[in-house]
Amino acid sequence: MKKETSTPASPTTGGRKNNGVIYTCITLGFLLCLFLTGVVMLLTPDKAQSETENRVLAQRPRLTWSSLTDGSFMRDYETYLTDQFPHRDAWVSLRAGVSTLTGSREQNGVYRTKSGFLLEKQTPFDPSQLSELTSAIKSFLKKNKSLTGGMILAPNASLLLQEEMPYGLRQPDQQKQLKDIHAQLKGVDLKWVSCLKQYEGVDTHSLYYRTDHHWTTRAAFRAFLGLSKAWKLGAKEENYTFYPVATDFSGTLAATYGERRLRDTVEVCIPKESRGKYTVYYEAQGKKTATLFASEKLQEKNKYEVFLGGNFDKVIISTTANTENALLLFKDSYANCLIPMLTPYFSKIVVIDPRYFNDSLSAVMEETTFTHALFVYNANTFLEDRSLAPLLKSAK
Amino acid sequence: MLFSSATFLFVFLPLVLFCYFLPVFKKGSPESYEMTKKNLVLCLASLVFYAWGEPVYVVLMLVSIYFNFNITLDFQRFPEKMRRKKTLFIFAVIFNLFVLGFFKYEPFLIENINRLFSLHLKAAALPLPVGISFYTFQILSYVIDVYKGESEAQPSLLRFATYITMFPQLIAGPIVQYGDIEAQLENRTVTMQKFSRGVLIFVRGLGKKMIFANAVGAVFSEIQGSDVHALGAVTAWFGILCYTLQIYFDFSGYSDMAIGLGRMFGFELMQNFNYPYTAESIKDFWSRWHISLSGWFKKYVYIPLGGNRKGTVRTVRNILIVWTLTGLWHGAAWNFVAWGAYYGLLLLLEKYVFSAVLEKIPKALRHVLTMVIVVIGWVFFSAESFFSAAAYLGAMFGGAGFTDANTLYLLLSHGFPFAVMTACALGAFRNPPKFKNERTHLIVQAAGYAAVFALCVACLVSDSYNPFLYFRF
Repeated sequence: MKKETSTPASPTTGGRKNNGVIYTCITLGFLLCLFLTGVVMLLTPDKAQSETENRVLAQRPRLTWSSLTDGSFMRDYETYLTDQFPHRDAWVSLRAGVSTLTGSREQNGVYRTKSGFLLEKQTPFDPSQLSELTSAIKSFLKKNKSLTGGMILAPNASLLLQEEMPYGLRQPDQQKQLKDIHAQLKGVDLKWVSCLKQYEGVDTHSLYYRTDHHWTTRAAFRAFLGLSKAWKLGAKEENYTFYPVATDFSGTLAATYGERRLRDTVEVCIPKESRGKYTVYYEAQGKKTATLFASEKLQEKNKYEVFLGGNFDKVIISTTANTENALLLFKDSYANCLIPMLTPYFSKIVVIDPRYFNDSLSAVMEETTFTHALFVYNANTFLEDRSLAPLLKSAK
Repeated sequence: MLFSSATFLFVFLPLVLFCYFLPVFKKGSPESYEMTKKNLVLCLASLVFYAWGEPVYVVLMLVSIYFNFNITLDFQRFPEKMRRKKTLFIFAVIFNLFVLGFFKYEPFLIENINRLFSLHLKAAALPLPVGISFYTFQILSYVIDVYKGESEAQPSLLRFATYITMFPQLIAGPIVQYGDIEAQLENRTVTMQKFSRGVLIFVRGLGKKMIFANAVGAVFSEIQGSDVHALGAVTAWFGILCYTLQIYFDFSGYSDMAIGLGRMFGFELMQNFNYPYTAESIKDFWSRWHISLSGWFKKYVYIPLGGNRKGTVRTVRNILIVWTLTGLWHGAAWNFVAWGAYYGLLLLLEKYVFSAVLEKIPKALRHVLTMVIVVIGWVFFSAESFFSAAAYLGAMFGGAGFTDANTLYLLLSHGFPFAVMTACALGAFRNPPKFKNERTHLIVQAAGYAAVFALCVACLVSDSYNPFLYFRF
């Protein structure tokens, strides 16, 4: 492909004339390529956002004196051209395809297993940060003795699909990380739900989306059953029904990897007894609904947002359940598909996402008399979290 | 503006080519009219090209061009008054070196003065104007040649400005010596064959940069970015070998693009790389790597200092001066000085101490030895400081064990492209098998380059592909 030959001579008789046609073809082909692409770029209407990448695309920058002299106009212009490039997705797939052909097994930090699962690369974590987090949780529960604690830390798909991972890839041992966290949390009233144990006997391929980094509703349900046992809630499997709501979910990992064909099914899990018997209040947004599902999100790219409508700082769920139990839930997005399963057992659930929550936790705790406190996180997010520990410390 | 950008490929280049080849419709106009228009288009386009990346420093370049244009004309105005001529010449050289020194070396100089005398002087810390090292050297070559009478001073400001600003080689060379291009500024032709050849060379360069260099570059940054104290020797070697490939394909790719673009506009620029990684000695390596720079230093520093004609001591001194300067030219930091001095010393050893031994050992062994030296040189070149270079070298020689957790995965993921690129860099495809029919050969070649170009566009578009990661919400 790469060679440094000198200008080809054409010694053969009659060759010169024939070759002239080829020289003309090369010249015109190249020029047409440049001109036509330029014209098509100019004429194609600009898109506001990219469906596959789930982001806003750069628009034509405005020319001002200051943007010209500091060079930002030129940089923005290049971003604009490549963002709006004709058939952008096809070019990206071409690149991803070629790079896979040459043996590369990851794209942008995402790799693919033999059974077609897309997994993100795990990063090592800072142990000192973890001990700060666990001690914050422990002192929070010590200060609030009336609370029954519970913790669900969902492992990543890569822990369950270890034998399918690309040969030679060594990742931080998440099982050991989970064990360490568990050990550090002993000595307080906190029930630890081992997801790995709950997953036993279930087909591992049904526990995570192939195209997304989240767990499926099935996996969340297994974890919920474990919690029910630990807290003696008495939930029965037959009282829950699964409904598929979308079969064309292509998640974040697929977008990062440049994979365009894989699709996942999204299911919701609904407890028979509490169907429609609750109100959901998004306090900061001033929005009240009677459902934990945002069906309009099924029309959008990120269909996982059907659960709770995405992530919000604070959501208050009031149910008609005949119980004094009230639950304070700290969580990341993994909890969103699990929350509906909890509704029959608590008259009130206050859901706090510490990454967005900026109010006073003490005020929340004065408002309601909580009986239970639950932490639902993905293990990786938990290890990297920097918002939960300060929040818990701020509580009285 | 970079050649490997959508703005250049699909907006700037087609527009410039269109204007450049648009004929001048005017009956009875002299032939030189056409050439003047071509130079004007090229010169204006080059200024836009430069201003696109350096909207402010373009003024500096214009001032520099105007100053040097006038002062060289003055040389000629006083042919007999040698003293006046010499004063002007020295003034011109000092002016050019001062501009380069101020923008490139001032922060480095201040930093070292502060360290030496424990002062707290503040550096101006201006950003480095792109390409200043390249165009200053071109200007110097012109000023010196005219002073010595090897070239006539260019009477046309347009032609002179075209020579200095010519966008194909403005930013990263090759450093064109004035004498090589003087005639082409006044008269040059473009034929279909020349243009199509230029297209192929350009696409080859684009491919070297976008497909090869960027791929190994990503591997190297991943390795360099990880903890150097936990880096296994195999990984460290793999990393620096990736850098070795990256810098070659990046730089020679850029030179190819410059030469290819030059051809499209009718210029014949000199070859800047000639399979440097096939070299069998350090001297051989430097006659194949960045040829235009080594040639410049030889002609304008080494030979004026006396070269090798004034005894061993002077030769040793001259070699060390040239190589320290070469190192410094590449960057204002001690690791670059160390890198330059390293080559100076090795060249001396090769010349005076081991020449007899080297002649006896087999070619293949000489090649391996040379490459080991070159690769170790790149450690200093790629590092951010002298100390991080030392730390990396430690890892290469087993400071943190033979392998680490990532070694196998890295080798498996990137081994194949790495092997292909190594083969290319070693010249395995230098003389590819030719089809009997020359025509078939050309068609296959053109189709291959079309595929390379398509892949380059894919890389260009993908590099901006950054899905919004709503991971941590």
